[in-house]
Amino acid sequence: MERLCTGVDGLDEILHGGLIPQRSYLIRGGPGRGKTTLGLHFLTAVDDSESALFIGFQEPEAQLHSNAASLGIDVSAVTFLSLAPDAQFFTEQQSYDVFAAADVEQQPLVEAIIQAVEHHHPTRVFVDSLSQLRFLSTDIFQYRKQVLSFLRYLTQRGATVLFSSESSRELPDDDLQFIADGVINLEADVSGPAIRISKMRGSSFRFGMHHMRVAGGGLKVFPRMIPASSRRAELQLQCWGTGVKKIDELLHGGLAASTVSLITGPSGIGKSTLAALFVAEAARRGERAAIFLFEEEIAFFLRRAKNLHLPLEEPFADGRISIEQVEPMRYLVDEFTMRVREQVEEADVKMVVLDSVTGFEIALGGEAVRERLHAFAKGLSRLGVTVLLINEIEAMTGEFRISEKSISYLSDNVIFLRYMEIDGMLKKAIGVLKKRLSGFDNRLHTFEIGPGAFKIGAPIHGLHGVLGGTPMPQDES
Amino acid sequence: MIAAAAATILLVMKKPGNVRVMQQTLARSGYTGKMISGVAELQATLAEPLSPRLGIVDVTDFGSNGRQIHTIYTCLQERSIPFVVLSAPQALDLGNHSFAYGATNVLPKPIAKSALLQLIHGLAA
Repeated sequence: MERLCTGVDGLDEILHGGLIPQRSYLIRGGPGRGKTTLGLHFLTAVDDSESALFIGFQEPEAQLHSNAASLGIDVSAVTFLSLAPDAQFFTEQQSYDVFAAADVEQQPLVEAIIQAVEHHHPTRVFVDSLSQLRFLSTDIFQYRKQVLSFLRYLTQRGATVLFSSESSRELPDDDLQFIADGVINLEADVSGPAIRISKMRGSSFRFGMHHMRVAGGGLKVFPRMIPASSRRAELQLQCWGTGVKKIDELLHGGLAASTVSLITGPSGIGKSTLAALFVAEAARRGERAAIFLFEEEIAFFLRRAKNLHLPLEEPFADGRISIEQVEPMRYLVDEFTMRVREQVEEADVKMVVLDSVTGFEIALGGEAVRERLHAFAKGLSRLGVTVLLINEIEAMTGEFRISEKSISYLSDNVIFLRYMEIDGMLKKAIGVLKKRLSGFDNRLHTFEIGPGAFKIGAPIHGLHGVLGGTPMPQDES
Repeated sequence: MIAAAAATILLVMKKPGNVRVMQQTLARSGYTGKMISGVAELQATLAEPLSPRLGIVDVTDFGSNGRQIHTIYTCLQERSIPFVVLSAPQALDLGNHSFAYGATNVLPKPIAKSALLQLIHGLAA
């Protein structure tokens, strides 16, 4: 089926290729959400065989030009028909009350539109906004009939029409939603502004909220990541180790490629260090890896790695390892996931570390992002990327839980690190809880982190309650 | 219709916006709308060799000045110029008084264009 690009790449992706030509689409959203900007993108996406017409009821042409320029949108190929009142309407007291507005305005307005359409033969039309016609209709039936007729007039002349609405509790736009062939909603949830398709006649589309941003360059839409339905099987044969023999033995060789692994444990126990071992080994093998730090600064991370003699600086310098410090509020969730996906695809990144899950949630929008994390991790793994999620558990000891965030279900592998108190000494234990694609050593081991080594000790024998953090000798149970 | 093409209709009203839309509407039907914003202007116009067919008086514009509106009605009546009074719906009482001064109709604003034109055709023909 033929598709017409909207001028916004991310939106075209959500629409599975773009809009179906010669149909009408409603853009809904509150003030400042980006309706006009999306309309301008749509109009400026014309190719040489097309022409674009902006029918505006609110802003004068000069202001539209100025706004478009400030967003970096070139509107030189767009014809503007501004039906907005000019300043004289106020200064010369041109308001009237002898006739109803519908009786006065409708005819010249229709004549102006017909003249513009017949003259320019537009293939793309944006009407901003069609709600204005509501005030020029004597009743709701007349309004609906007028809108239907107007849209039909444009589409039958070969135009694809985008039109905006201003809905409120007092003046809902449900009628326009029924009339339109498609409905594009510009909304906002707790994690940021988003775009959502609620209707698209004759076409499938990607459901849900997709984050968007209006900034330099105009409107950017970040389609939320949807994991592919299947993964590339050949990639699962690869295995990622740490280069530390005993850790790799625990994992019966390492982590299978294109899987999601959770490295979980309390603060300061060595989760990031363990992840760094996998990354360093990947770099040593000549593969690319990306680390996203949500809590720690890059300099500190590298210094810590250096102190542990982990060879990260050189691969970081030559680009085999990329490390990004993600500041709170810098990205929207879908913007971040799209950025990571692009990096994976463009730089052929094979391993991604998210440090940490808590930081991801806080920096990108709170609790609402959990489903995004799922899609992100699964989506990357099905692209062939090995994903390491660093998960911090608040409790230092006590009842054992893999995660306080209910995310263990999305992990193919779970490595846990625990503190335990033995004879007044704080010791560390490591264990593997889950590994979907192979067996693993199910014994707990002590471990230590020190300069030059992540030392795995002997399996823990003769103790129970290690996972609770306060082990007891077996014979005291 | 041809006779009406040259007919002048006095628009006794002050609001520029109302005058503008009245003139546009009348022009499309072949009439000329002449704005009259007060008594002095009305008297001066009636002194000219002009034969207005009809007066449309927006009483709302003169609502607080009974003397002035009384003079306007009297002038029109003395010259046998039929006139229609427009009134805000909330001030129809004010408009209804104009019947005593010879108003042919009192219409609440906003008026339907088609209804006004039909009335004008009848009165100004």
